[in-house]
Amino acid sequence: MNKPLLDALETCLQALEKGETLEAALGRYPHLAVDLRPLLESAQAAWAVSRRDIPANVIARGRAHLLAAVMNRRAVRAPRQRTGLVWRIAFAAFMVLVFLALTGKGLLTASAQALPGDVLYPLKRTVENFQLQLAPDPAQQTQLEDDFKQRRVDETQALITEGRVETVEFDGTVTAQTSDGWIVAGIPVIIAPQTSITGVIAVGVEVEVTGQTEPDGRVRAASLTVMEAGNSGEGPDFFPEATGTPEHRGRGPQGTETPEPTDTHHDDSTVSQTAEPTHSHNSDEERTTMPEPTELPELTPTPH
Amino acid sequence: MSTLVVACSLQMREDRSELDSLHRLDSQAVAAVYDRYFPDVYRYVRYRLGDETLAEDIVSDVFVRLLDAVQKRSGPVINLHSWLMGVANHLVTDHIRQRYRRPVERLPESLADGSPTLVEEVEQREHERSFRLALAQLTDEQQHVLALRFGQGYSLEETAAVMKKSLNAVKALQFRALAALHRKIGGRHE
Repeated sequence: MNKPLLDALETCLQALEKGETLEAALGRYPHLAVDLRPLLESAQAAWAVSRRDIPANVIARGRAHLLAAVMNRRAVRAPRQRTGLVWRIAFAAFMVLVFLALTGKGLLTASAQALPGDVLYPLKRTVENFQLQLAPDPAQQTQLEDDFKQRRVDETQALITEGRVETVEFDGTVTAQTSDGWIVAGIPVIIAPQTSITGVIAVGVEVEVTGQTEPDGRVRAASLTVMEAGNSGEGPDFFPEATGTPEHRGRGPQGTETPEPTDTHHDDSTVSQTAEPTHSHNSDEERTTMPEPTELPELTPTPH
Repeated sequence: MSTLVVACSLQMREDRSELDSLHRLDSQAVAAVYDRYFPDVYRYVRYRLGDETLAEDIVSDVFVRLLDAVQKRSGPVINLHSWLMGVANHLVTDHIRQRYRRPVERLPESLADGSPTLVEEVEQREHERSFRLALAQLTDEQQHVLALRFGQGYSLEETAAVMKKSLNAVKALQFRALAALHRKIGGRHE
């Protein structure tokens, strides 16, 4: 296309915009006037129908319409976002399942060896819970419960062996008294002033221990709970050496089956001062005598 | 040149900020965008169609489409103004195509026999009407460039930016558009 003509047209258009007359604009390019005139006349016609004014109500109506559209989209967006959240959670759960399916066997194997405080330990306990819930009959469920109870004891002993300090919980039978606690399932348990005790503890009773393994190979008990009340009445009731914690020892409902201590005829001042022997109402009276602490392990009750 | 680059950079940053606000459906931001661009878009559409009511409807549609496009992340990325004018152009073109499938409306005969004032008004309306009929016969691009340059009063550079064309391409396009318009108007009057 003829570039000088294009440039001349543009110059003339700018001149007309600034208020020059058509003739004055054409006067700039007399040799192109014949070509430019119809173009500039068309431009004048195009300008003539241009209007700048905009009715105020048109602007207000348009703004209101647009803001209504915004509100509608907000209302639609909220449920979509919730739906999106649900889908994201479902997708995450699916990915976890896929991950477990791909690596589950290895993970479960690894978690079986986990000890309290290990990353995989919660997985180990979760699997155990599933196993209990999926047990086909009560007998197998009881068997599993016994197995898992033994695992807790084994785990605690493993932690003690490794010298680790971790929070533990296990069940076991009280087998002996020590100077500052009890032996439960073969594990020395220290009674501290802060230890919470539920029930009357005696050799032979089943207790649940929660506490912390200590580097010295013992478990410092946070709580001791008697599991089976019947055991306390079958043998001699026995309290550990007084360590300043008697006030923390609750009698609990088992108290009715464990007679209150009475005066002992034992002349061993050490034992009578540190232990609180109980007195049986039945013919087993002789077994209420408090033995020497050093002989405690041998004092496993033998019912007559 | 460097001033132009800085100005463009600032404009782009402003546009991005506006688009982010639109995506969040921030009412104040939406209203601000509307107030800023509505006059330009409205005048453009009204110029091409010559109908205020129709222009109002189409411009509303332009801004609603902007909301939808921003929500879908398929809308403008940097130049909001160009995007709006482009959508307005498409909607007007679509409307003209649909309208010309229907019979062309004629002025009522009673108006032509009215008072002198009414006659002047009728002449003005007839002039506008013949201009728009001629305009409607041009190509979409020719109508677009005439609306931008003579309806909006945009400079050559502004028109080039909206149309995403070079200055020389716009010069050539407006030349052809004016020549075609002259032929159409002249042809109707002859």
